[in-house]
Amino acid sequence: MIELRDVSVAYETSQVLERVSFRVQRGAFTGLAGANGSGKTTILRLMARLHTPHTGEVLVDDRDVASYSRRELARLVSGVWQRPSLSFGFTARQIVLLGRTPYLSPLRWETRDDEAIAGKAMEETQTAHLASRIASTLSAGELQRVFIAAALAQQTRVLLLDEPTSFLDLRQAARLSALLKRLSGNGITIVCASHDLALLRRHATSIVILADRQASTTTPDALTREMLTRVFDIHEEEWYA
Amino acid sequence: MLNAYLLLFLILTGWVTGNPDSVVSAQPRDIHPPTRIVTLAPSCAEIVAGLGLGDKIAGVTQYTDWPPRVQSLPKVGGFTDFSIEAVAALKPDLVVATDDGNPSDALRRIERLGIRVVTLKLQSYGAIEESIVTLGDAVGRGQQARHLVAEMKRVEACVAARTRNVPHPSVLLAYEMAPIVTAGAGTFTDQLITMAGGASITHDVATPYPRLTIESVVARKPGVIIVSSMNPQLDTKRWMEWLRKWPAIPAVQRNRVHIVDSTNVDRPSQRIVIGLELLARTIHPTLFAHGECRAELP
Amino acid sequence: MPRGAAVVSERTRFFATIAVLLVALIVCTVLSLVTGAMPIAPRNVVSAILHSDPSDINNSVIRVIRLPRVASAIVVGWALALAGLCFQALLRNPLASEYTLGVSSGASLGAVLVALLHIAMPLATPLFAFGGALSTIAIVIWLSRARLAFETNSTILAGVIFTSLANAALSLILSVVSPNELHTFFFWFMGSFANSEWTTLIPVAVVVALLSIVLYAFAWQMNALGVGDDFAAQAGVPIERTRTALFVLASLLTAFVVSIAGTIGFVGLVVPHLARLAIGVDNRKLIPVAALGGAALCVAADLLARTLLAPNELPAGVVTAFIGVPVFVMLMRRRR
Repeated sequence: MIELRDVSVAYETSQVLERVSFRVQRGAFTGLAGANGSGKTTILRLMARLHTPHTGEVLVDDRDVASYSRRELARLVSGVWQRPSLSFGFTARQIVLLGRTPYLSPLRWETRDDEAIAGKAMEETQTAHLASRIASTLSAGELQRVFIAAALAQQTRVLLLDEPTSFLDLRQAARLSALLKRLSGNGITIVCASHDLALLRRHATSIVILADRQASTTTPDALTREMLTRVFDIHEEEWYA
Repeated sequence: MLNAYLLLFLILTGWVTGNPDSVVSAQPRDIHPPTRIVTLAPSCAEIVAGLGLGDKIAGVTQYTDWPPRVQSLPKVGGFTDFSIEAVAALKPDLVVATDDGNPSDALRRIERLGIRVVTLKLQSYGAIEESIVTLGDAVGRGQQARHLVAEMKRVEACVAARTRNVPHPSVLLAYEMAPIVTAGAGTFTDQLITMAGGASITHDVATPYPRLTIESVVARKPGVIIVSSMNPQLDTKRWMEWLRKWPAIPAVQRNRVHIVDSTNVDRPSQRIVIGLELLARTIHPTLFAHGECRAELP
Repeated sequence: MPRGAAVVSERTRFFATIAVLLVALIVCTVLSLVTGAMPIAPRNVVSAILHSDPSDINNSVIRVIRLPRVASAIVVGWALALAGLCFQALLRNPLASEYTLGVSSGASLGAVLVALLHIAMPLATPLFAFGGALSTIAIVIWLSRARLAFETNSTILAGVIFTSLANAALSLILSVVSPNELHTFFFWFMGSFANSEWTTLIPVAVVVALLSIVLYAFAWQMNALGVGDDFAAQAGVPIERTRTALFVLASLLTAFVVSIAGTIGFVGLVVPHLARLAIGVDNRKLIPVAALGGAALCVAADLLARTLLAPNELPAGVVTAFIGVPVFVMLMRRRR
């Protein structure tokens, strides 16, 4: 479904990824784990073409993402990003409806069908009751679910999630976890970058560990303490502290 | 980019000051005496009245005060921001305008309302006499106009004759004192100072109305300072005291600072010769002690 | 999906707002047409609109002065409000507008060049104004060291700095041009509808109408951009192309209206914000509401400008500033 081939990315001061290659299987739940700055968000951004690699290529459905138009790609890949700016007070419904953008044009405005799809996405994410609330008045968990609803309204086969549980309290995180489980069960390919190892271990079918500009694929069962110590540089005593 | 803008303006401004303006001339058309006239500057009202049509004036702009009867007439606004509609509302059959301040596009619009507009060229001293004749011919008062011009020429010659063989002192004529605004080369005021037997200290400045610092006034050593004030009673004491702090200026040292009423010297009409003699007397008090050239104007 | 109560009230609110603004615009327009130094009966106003009679002064006053003037206020207010809306969507900053970003001043400087150089080429004024507007955006973005996607107030600060520069340039010009040209230059910086003529107004009105239609086609993309660049891009909006198109659209709108009315400040800042307070943030509703609101505001401002101190005329820009500054202050305070 998605493949990175020999991808290298460097920012102004540092190389983030160096000749990274891995594959995400159709319908899989892939977890991205790694320390801050290891390139988890970068990989998600590459997959949505919000960033272009310096070398190598990113393939979606065996085609280079660069060869898609924005609109075509948006029908295949959707994402939920950190820190959306909400200065103008959109309502939850408006945000979710904006998920229909790749299917609309100046000559084709949203129809009842689009509204129905958005409504269904909101029900699925348990946000229907928030529809006319202004987004900036929502809690972090509610907002996270609204953006997932927008991504669902986009009706893509791939869903990218960047730190979906950060800023969530335990109850909200549990709700989100249940939602991810349902989505994954519906056959959506999910790539999720997270520090929340419990979340990844619970849902992921495979884990990509990012360390030292390299990616290595492993299974959730292999997320052992030794490995974490290696990747995150945690010492035994800190682990128990 | 910022520098480019600035540079551009500096270049452009050099151009602009060198360019004489295109002026609208008064075109004598069919001669029929007007019955309702609106004047768009104090000078225009003075010229119209000088031609014997003062009682036909139906509306004026602000600060128009001569002849006295116009002070009670309806005002159409200031001479740069008059209301076209207020002009039209007076139903004039002639509008007398000046190229020295009336916006030309507004004048065009008045013409498009079907109202006859005569635009006088009043930007230089020489043009005043020409404009009086043109207007006179346009309203059937050519005779009267030539009489006015003859009287102007008489006063000019009289002033010139008396100042010909005496030294011409350097003169600063200021419209404003804070900041000091004066007249540069080629302006009407500059010509007036020369004709009155003075030598303007800013005769070499290309900017039409330059601002001077007190420092450059000290440096240019005017022998006579004349402040053209809209309110002489109020300003006299104030400016005298302020200037007294600069005894290095010859005019201050010799007590040659004078305040004149600006209405006498800043209105380009036939009455400017009254201002001319006033200036000449201010510059050369002994030569003009008794109103030697006294203008006889209606 | 059954429409919720909220949706119904949103629609009602939108149409009610449009209706109110239309009534306000019509009332202001009618008042403008019947008010003036010349007392003209409403009946004669109507007949003057319907047919021309150059021999009747009342007829001429309506056709030559009042009609083009009110039409020009409508076009200018319409376009400025849309330009402001566009800049606010682009910069995601409610303090952005063609005026606060200095784009109006830049366009004015461009127009002033035409007057200074006595360029007689047709359309020179709008073209130079457009050049001035685009250069301003380049300068402001460079000053704020931002990419086009900047979201803080430093672009506004840069706009203020540029406006000061433009004002300094004006002072420079005013101190060297001959006094009988002063009025022309003041006009560009203080904005007025007094110089409206059909010959210049009609082409501008046509351009503004076309630009409004094009802008409306971007309304949905503007919404997506409002949520965030990443969000918009992954939802299928070609960000760079859309941004460039919107910057050019907003600059063109500004430049064309500056070329007929000079700098009328605060319309593009205040009107979109008030529209948002009334009907929310959906640009497909904001565009018609802001356009009508801008038109109504400018017609009202012009009416005040020529009646407050009659027979003297205030520049309409002075009136919009007196209305706009308090609203601007209110916005600043609400933003913390």
